[in-house]
Amino acid sequence: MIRRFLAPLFVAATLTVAPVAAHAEIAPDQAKQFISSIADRGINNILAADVPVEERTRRFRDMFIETFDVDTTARFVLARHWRAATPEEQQEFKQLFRDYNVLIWAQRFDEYNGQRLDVTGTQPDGDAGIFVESRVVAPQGGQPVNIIWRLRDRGGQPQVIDIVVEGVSMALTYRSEYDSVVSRSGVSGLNQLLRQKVQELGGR
Amino acid sequence: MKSTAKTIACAVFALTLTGCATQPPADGQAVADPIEPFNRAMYQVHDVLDQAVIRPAAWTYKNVLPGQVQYYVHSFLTNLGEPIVFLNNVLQGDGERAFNTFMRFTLNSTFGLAGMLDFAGEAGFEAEPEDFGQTLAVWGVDDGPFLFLPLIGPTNARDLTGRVVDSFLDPFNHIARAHDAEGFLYGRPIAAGIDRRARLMPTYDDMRASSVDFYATLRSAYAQNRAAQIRNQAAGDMLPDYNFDMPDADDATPATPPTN
Repeated sequence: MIRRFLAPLFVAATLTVAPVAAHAEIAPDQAKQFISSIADRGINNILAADVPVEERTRRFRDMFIETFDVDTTARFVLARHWRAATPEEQQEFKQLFRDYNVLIWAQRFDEYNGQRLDVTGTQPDGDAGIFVESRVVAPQGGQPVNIIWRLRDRGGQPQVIDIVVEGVSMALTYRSEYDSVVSRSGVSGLNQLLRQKVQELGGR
Repeated sequence: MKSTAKTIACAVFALTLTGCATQPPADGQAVADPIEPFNRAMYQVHDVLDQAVIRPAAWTYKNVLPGQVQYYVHSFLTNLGEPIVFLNNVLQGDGERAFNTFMRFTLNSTFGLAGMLDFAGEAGFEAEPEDFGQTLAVWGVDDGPFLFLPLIGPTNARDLTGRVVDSFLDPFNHIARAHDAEGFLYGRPIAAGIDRRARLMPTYDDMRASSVDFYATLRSAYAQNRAAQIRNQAAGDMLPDYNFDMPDADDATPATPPTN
């Protein structure tokens, strides 16, 4: 009885799910697994690891380059200015943007205090990618922090293109910040400022 | 009491509508900031005050007072705000959250020792802040022009109006005024400000140091965070609603990971 009732639903479900899955390319389980593995690796290998700061930063840099699609994000962040920039400026911006991100995250390693990341769900982003929803929970209790990861398929592997913390998208915030700098002093001016920041933060 | 509230709300509503008819906010992409030079100047003032007074006070609060005392202070201040949260829950027609807030205030004011302990939070009634700025947004009022004000920080016409309305409607402020307790009227926002600044402590300072245009960062982050808070009660999710596709650039994104 129940089975007979459910059968048409099943067919309907497979029919609707199939094209969506083909479009999204990243399966929800794969996406969740990917984020959990980033969290595990980040906590066990970097944050809670008993190694010198330089080693932590090096490990983080490797993980960042592997799991984050800096090219896509860098392009999104420069938005309309991307086309206006010369290939050299674009290239330099991508490198500085990556180094800058590695260093500002590295700067916050000490704030780690036993928090853990719980992956809570996924949503398609209607844009060939997927959102993974997660919460950072502190062992002492208190309000958890909501973090959404935006993923894209890159050659069969998911890569992160944006991180949204309590509704604040990293990529959108950089875009807005850089737009105001580029409008005043061009992409070369922005690169110069970033180079200065990277130096201040301890990069070459 | 209720009709007063309604009158104020309507007046504010009308006021803000005219204020924001100029530019619609676009998915948190571009924040309407018609008086940017003024705002940037105010940001400078705010930043000087922050570094000279607010940050040192917050640093002391955070590093000198025991963590447990900070927890009491934070819980107490949050509890004082619950009646206003409740009122806004009701004005937004959100019965579920109104119940949650009612339970929080009742439990914490009694078992939570006048709000010093977040007893309700542990019982599953978690704090869900609401304010009149959010209520106006739920009623369809747009952000209005962005404003940066010393001591208040980033805000906009709608949220600033919401703050004023909230502070007028707050029953504890009424009681304090009736008893000439000026200390409470000044002390409460100061304590709340220091508590909030202390909680932002590592993040705000890191961002301030690393940002290439901190004003622009705050402007964007504020608008996005508010949009998420407002969406939260409307749709029950916090998904960002912008498109990642690059205008002007070909969609061919590299399939290979960036080389070192």
